Amino acid sequence: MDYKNSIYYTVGRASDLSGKDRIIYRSFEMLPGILAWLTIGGIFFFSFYKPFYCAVFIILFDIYWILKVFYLSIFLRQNWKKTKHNMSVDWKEKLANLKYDRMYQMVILPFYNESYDIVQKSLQSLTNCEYDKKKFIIVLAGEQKNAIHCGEMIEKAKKEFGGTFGYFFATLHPAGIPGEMPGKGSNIAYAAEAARKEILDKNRIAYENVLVSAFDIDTVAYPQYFECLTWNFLTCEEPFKSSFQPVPFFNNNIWESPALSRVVAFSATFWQMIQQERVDRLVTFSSHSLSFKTLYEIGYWQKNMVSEDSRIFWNALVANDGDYKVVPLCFPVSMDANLAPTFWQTAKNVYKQQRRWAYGVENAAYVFMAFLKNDKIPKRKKWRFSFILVDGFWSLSTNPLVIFFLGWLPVILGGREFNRTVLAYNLPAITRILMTISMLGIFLCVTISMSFLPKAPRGSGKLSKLAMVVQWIMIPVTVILFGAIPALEAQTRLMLGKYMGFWVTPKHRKK
Amino acid sequence: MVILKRNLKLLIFFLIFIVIAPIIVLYANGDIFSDGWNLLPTGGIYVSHAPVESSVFLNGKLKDTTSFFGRNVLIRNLPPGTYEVSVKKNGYSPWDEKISVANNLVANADVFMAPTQIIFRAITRYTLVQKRTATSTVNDREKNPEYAAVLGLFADVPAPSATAAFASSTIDFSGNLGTERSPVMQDRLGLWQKDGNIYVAWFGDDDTAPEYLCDQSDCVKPLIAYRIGAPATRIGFLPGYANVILIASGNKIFAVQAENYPTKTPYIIYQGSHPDFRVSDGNLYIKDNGVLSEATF
Repeated sequence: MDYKNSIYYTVGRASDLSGKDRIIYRSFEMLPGILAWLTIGGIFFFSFYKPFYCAVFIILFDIYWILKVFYLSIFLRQNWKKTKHNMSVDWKEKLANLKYDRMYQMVILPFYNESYDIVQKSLQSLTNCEYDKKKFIIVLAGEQKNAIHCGEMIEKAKKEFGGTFGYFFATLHPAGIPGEMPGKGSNIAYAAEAARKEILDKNRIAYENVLVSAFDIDTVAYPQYFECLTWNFLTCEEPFKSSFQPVPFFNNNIWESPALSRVVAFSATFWQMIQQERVDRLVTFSSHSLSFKTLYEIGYWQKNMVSEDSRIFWNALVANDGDYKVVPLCFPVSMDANLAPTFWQTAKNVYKQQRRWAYGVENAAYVFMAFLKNDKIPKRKKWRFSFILVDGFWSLSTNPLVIFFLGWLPVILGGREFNRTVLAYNLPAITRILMTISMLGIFLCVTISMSFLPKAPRGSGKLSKLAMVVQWIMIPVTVILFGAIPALEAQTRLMLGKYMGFWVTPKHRKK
Repeated sequence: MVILKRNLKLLIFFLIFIVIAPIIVLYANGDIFSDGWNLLPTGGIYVSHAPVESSVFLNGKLKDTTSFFGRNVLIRNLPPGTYEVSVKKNGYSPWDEKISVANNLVANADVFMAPTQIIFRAITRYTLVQKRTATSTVNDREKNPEYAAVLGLFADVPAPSATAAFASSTIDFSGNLGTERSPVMQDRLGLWQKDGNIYVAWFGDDDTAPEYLCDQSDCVKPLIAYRIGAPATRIGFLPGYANVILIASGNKIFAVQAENYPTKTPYIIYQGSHPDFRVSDGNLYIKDNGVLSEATF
C-alpha cells in the first residue's frame, strides 16, 4: 500500500491515532521538549554536582558555537552573492531558450482579516511581474468565518484586478469542517482543490503545466520571480519531485518597522539564505512553489496542523519514499516585517510569530513516525533527516541559552572548591572572549542587510540608516527572547500536549 | 560536487575543532605547554580590592595596574611555588605578601592598603558659638552633643558574670567583649583574644564563609589572625572591611588583615600614649588621654 493512503500520512497529532501508534507518536511529540529541558536541567545539575565537567562542556560548546557561526557565515556569503547575481539576471532571456509558453502560474493568496491595501499591494506586485498575465491563475482564498470582510475584499479585488489576469478566482473556505484546523493550510488546500475543479478541469489545463505558488497575502513578487521559478522548474532534474523555495525577504515595510522587528526579520532571512546553500537540509518555508501535478498527487497542504508550509515538504518526501527535494531559487520574494501600532504590540507579535514558526517542531513526530512506518525510504536518508531535525529543534531552543545565559552557572553553583580552580576564574573570561569573536558575524549581517534594503522613503534621515547598522547589537537579546524562548515554549507545549492553533500574524501598515 | 565541497568545509571545521578545543580547555584549566610539548600545570594569583591605579608586582616585576573598571588582577600561568606579591600606590602603605600557588588553583591576594595620611577630626567637649546681644555679638561656648555621645561609647561595659559565662555552653553574640565566650561580631565573623593571640572564626553557614577560614572539609575552625604576645586593650573590625582587624595595644592602634598570610604587616593607624577605640555606625572613634577624635580613611 502507498504510504500516502495510510492513516499516518495525514496525522496531525497523537490523538489522531490509536493504541500503540498513538503512544509512539506522543513520545515523538514529547521528545523535543524533553531534550531541551534535559539540556537546561543538566547544565544546572552538573554545574552543582560536577562543575568541572560542566565548565569543560561549556567551553567546548562555546568553541563549537563560534566555529558554527563562521561555518554558516560561509554559506550566507555564498547565497548573498548568488541572490544578488540572480536578481540581476534577465530570466526572460534565459527562458527564451526553453519552451515555456504552456506554463501557467497559479498564485494562491490566503487572507482572513487583512485590509484591502495589503491585498492590493500583493496583487499590484503580480501585475508588475513580467510573466504573461494571461497565464496567471490568481486564487484569492478568504475564510467564511469572516465572510463579510472577505467578500468585500474579493469584490474590490475582482473589480480592480479581475481583467488583468488570465483567471481570477476567489474562494471562501467553509468554517468548521470536521478534522480541519482553522488556518492557512486548510484554507489554501480548499482553494487549490476548488481552483482545480473550476479553472484547471473546466479549461482543460494540464496539471503538469501549472506551477502553484502558495504565498502569504503580504507576499510581493519581484518582477521576474515567475520567470526564475519557471526556468528552475524546466531545468530541474526531477521537476515533479521538487518544491521551489525563494528567499523570504521581509522588506515591504522594513523602514517603518522597529529595530527589534527588523533584526528578527533579517535573522529569519539569513537563516533561509544559509539553508538555500545546504540543499539537503532545505525545507519549504512560508511562500513556496511546486507543480500542481505534485500538489494534487500528494493531496494538497495538510489541513489539521499549524506548520503547513514545511509539512508539505515532509508530506511529499514520505509520499515519494524519500525521493523529494527542495530546489533553492536564490531569488527573493518580499513580505512584511512585524509591525503593530505600538512597540509592545509589535514585540508581542514578533514573539508569537516566532513561536508559531518554532512550532514547526510538530513535524518531527510526523517524520519520525513516517520513518518507522515507511520501509521504502532509504535508511541513510532516515538517519540523516532525523539528525537534521533533532539538531534543528534542539539548537533553536537551547543553544542561545547555553551560550549567553547558562555559561556562568558552574561559577555560581559550583561551590567553594570549584571556585578556587583556575578553570573557574578562566571560564567567564574565555566565554566572553569567544562570544566577542563570534559577534564578528554581525559585520556580515550588517553588510548583507544593507545591500538588500529597499530605497529609504522620503524624509528618512541619516539616523534611520545608522539605526539599520546599530540595530545588530541587539542580536544576543533577540536570539534569546525571540529565538530560544518562543522555541522552548513551543516545544514545551507540544511535550505537554497543549497543542497550538494557527495564529494569523496581524498585518499593519503605517498610513 | 556541491555536497563534496560542503563536506570538505565541514571536515576542515571539524579538524579545527579537534585541534583547538583541547588546547583551549587545557589553557582554561591552567595547563600550558612548556619546552615544546611538555604540559606544565600552573596556578594563578587573584589580586583583589587594591585601590584604583595601583601597580601590582610579582617577584619585583610589574605585572599589571588596576583601573576603575578592573580593580582586580588575575596573574595566570604561574608554576607552583611561593611568590612575592607587592601592590603599590602613592599615598598608601604598600602591601607585600608571600603567596603560595598550587597546581590548577588560584590563590587569593586580598589587598588591604591603608592611606599614609589618616585624617583625625577632633571631637571637642564644647563648640564655639556666636551669640548676639542687643548691642554686640559675643563668642560663647556650648556643650557639643557629639562629644557626649561618643564619650558614651567608651563607657565601661560590665563583664559578664563568671556564673553566666560558664553556666551556658552557648556563645554570647551580643556582648562584643572580645572573649572566646563573647566575641566581637561583624556579620557572622567573630573575633576574640586568648593567650596572646587574636582569633577569628566564622559562625554562619559554610557557603557564605570567607575563603581564608575554610579548609578542604569545612569552615568551622578558628584561625589565629595575629600573634600579639601581650593582651590587647581592645580588638574590633576596621569599618568598611570584612577582613581587617583593629587592635589597640600599648601606645598604638593598628590594623592587620585576618587572612593567614605569612607576612602580616601591621598598619599603624594611631600612635599616642594609651589609646582606645570604638566602632559605631561605620565610624572609627579614638580616645587617648581623654581626647576624642574620629579617624577617616
